[in-house]
Amino acid sequence: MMRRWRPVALAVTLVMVGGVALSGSALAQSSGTSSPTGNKIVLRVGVPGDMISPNPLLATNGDDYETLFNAYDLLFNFNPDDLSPSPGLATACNPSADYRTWTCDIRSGVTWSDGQPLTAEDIAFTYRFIETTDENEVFTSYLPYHPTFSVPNATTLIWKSPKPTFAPTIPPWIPILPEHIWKQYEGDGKAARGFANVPAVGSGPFVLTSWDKGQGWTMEANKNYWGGAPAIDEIQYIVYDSQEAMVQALKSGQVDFTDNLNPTLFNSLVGQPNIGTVKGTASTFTNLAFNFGGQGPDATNNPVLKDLNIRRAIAMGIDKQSIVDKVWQGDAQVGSVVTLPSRPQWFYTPTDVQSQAYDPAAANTLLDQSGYASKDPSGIRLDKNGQPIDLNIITLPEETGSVDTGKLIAAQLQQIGIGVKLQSMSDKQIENNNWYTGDFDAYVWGWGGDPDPNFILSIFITSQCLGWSDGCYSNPTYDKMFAHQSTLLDHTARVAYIQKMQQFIYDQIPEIVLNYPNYLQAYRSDRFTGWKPEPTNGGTYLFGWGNQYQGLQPLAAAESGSSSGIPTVLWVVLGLVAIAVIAFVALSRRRRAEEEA
Amino acid sequence: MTPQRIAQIEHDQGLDRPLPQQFVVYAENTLTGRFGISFVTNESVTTVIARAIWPTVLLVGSATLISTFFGLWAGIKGAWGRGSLFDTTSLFGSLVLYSAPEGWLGMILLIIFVGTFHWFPAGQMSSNTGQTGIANVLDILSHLFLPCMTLVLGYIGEYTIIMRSSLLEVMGEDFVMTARAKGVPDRLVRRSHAVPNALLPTLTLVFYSFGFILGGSVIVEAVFSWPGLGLLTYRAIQDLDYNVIQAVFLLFSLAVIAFNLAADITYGYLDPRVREA
Amino acid sequence: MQTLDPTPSEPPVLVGEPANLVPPKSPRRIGWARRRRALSAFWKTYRRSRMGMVGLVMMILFILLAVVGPFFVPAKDVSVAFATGKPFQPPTVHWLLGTDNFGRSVLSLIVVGSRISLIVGFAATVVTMVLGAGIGIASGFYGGKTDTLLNALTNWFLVIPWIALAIVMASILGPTLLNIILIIGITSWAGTARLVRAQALTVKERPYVERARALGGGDLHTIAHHILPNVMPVIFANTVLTVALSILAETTLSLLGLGDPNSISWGGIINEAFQAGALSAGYWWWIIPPGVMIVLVVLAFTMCGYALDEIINPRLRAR
Repeated sequence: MMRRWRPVALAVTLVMVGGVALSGSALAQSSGTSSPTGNKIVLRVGVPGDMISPNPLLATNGDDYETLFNAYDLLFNFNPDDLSPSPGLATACNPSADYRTWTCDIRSGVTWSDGQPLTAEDIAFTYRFIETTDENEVFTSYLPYHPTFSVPNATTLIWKSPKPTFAPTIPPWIPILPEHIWKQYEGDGKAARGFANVPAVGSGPFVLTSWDKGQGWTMEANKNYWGGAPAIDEIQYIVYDSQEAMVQALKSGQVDFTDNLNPTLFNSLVGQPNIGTVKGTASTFTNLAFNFGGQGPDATNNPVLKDLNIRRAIAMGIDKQSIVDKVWQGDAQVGSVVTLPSRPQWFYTPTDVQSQAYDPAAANTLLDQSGYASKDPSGIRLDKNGQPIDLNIITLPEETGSVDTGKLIAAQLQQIGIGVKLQSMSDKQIENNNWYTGDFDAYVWGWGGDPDPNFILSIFITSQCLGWSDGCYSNPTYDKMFAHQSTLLDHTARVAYIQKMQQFIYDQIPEIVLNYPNYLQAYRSDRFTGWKPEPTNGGTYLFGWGNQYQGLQPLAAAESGSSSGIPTVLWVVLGLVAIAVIAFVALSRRRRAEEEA
Repeated sequence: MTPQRIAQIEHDQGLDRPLPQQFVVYAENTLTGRFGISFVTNESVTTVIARAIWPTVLLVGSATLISTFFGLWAGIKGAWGRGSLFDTTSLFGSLVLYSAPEGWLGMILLIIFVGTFHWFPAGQMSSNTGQTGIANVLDILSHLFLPCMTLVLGYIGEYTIIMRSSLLEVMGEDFVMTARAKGVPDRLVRRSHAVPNALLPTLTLVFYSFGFILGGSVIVEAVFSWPGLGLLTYRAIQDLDYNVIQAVFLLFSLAVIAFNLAADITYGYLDPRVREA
Repeated sequence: MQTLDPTPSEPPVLVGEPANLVPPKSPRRIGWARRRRALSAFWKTYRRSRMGMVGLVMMILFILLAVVGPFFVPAKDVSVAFATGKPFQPPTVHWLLGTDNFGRSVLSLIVVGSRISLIVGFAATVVTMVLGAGIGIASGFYGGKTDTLLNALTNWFLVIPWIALAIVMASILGPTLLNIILIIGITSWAGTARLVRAQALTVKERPYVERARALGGGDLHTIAHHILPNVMPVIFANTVLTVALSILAETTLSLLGLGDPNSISWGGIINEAFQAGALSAGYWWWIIPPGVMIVLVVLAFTMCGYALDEIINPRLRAR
């Protein structure tokens, strides 16, 4: 028994130890080869989620856009003071008298990161490419009325629109792509979306060099950048699945910056040594967006939501201030319209803001009078077909505050006899499933949006159903209003009209704007200096409006490399190994002594 | 996005065919190792899984080795000195550890070792500081320590209890009694008669329980952001990435079947009664 | 997670034949008398196990907490919208276990959560036992093709890692309380079925079963009156352990974000705390107590189950 047993046990143990050692060495090598650093100056940015894709046609979330901002140029950049267009690849665009022809002066001497020259031809190519290949309509709203583009010389782009337009100055948020790389995919959306785009050839201040999916991605400085070489050599974005781990990494100095923190963790960092905190004031809004159906015959949305009185009652049943207090711990403002208070040139206060103020009693009265007076035994109101009004509301765990906001809303709507079933889903899951099947009644999400309100106003038009539209809202009056605002070439007239549109959305309630939360970030104050908030007043240090990395200068600590807690850990690990070895030796000695006995 | 475009996506993924046909296609693809692409990363599922497999082997492998080693040791010592202080303490400790959810254990370790003492990194597999050689190995080890400890603590109790009961059972068998009656020294009885016979069923059970430690790795990897199959599964659940979920499910099952098979073969080889039967 | 019992249990020793019988009045009375005696003999043995008694007392306390406790907590106290506390209060005399992000008392949450945790534990156990005992008895009693088929099914479920199956089912069915109960039950019956089958196989061969059949007892009668009572002890010990495992399984699913978001359970509280960043912020009172409750309740059931096992499985008894 014994004799046979030993070799097998030994073999099994050896195989397992071998497997573990092999995996360890495989990992050690794979992660070791990623970046053999000399005295590189590396900025490490912790992010709470991975990119979805660095391919512009698939880009969706904030990480994707931050990467695209660094890797590519736009026609115009954003002026950090007021987010108005400022010279980018184009130094200026001038309209003809009828606003149908725009002539843009393109910078000369710009090169792609692979050394090829960047000319007006590349810009014209990119816009045509979007027209023919962007089947998901990510960027098409920036190129209204199907314009045509021509390039009389390398530094001039002519944009011809069949109708008067101010689209070039919105400006189009379309990364300018190198024609010599993307030409082969023109017209073939599937192939274009299948293009990995890592490493990416771009013209921005940084070049995307590698993406280790689920782990993070690396961008190297483009020392030939036309706007000046960045002082840092490399940015590493490191993905953390738990915000806990990300915050601990910041505290121990493994990352220099953490993006998009939740209020609890953010507050735990305030006042910590060597850590600075940043609040981007009201740079997004969170909403409760209703689904109106229209995704197809199988959509399971509750038709009762088409009744404006129901939507008004829900708006009156939600205590937005309590969401500010409990979910955001004060780091938010009560919401009303779809533009942001941080962009005062467009922000608007509705005339009748009292009409949707939190008032459960008035909401109950409204529902009673609108034909929803009868209730089922559990106190849920019945709709006009005698069905209890139960709303299936989706919340997104990856979106700060969404799940908790959903819980508050569910509890508050109970007070006015509206039932809520909460369901948690990731944004990818919603995009892959529920959006297209219409299998939800509302969700708690949010929007950032462009500096110009054109984009955020566009999501409510009928043709955006299954595009950027939240719940396929459709209203012919609004569609006409939207078309009309894009013909208003006089700025003052457009501002006034857009206020009218905001009032219309506020009254019709295709979605309830809940809050304008602050965007919470933290950084190591002992590593880098030269942070540039965007917008200048109350903006974030990164993930803002582009060109935020170039001014960063390393402090002494950043140049001396990582100061993480590895030495301590090293001793602990070595100590454990030593104990194990000693124990093993001692045990085997005793065994030998026994056998001799 | 237009209805035509949706129809095209559905066609590309075979979702417009009748269900039985979809199943045949699925079975065929699975058997030939084609798991399709991940809806989230747009990569082939095989690539996604290949990337995540080594971290899990490292984590689960080291945790299994350590917890088996110490679990068996404590079980033997406890059973041999039944009722002793060591036995009572280790049995109670084992029961407590066995009763604790792995994810929560991981959080407690995080509070102690990261939140209070700052001894270990809180997650990930490396600091991404681009170090090489021995520094890199140590870096990975320091990241491995806490998730590995969590799994070890989660399973050591179970192994201790199994080993203890198994040895107690063997100690009642005739041949052990006989050996003792013959005056064979206590230690030799234990080493040459009792323990080998008790180890056999225990190790088999350890092999059989591989599926559970693999399952435990899902939650532990999620808590520590350890980039293995568990984290992949956790993310795939959140994103409803069905192709990845299917493939991981299959892989987990295959791993468990392989380990069960290995257990059966080993058992058959070691225990003549089974071999002859 | 798996049963602590390393080997299939031996036949139970509970059916002791009484020595001096007072002449009975009816067969049913005999049966009851015998059962009562067996039970009291069993209780005498059980009482001697310190571990078993501690576990039993703890278990009763937890059941009391789950049944009675929630009546003492006003609904307002655990409502996210109407709780009166300030967020993140550390434990004080007024807030014994502090408050969470919504200002709810963690103590109230734990009391209310005890009910869901135990309901899931017991309900999933019922599913497990019904499936496990049914399939095990059918497999062992009928034999032949039925046995081959059911045994293959059992082995398949034994091999599939429960967490993988649970995840797949939860992500498809959606996380409601009922689904979670079903998922846990469906993923954990196989071990019970194996035990019960082995037991049924041995009982089937006993002379009195053959006698009963020869006297014309049908399948159902035989199963109900002869097989089931003899399989019961094995099922019983297994049941108690299964409750513990089901509570752990619910916790694991909750920690993976697959719990029911519309109800409060201990695993759900831990998950909420973790997601909100309670570890870094140092809100230990939000994360440690619910975990301790889980450990204690699982410990209670495990200790009971373990003590039962030692009694029912004679080979484990002290020598």
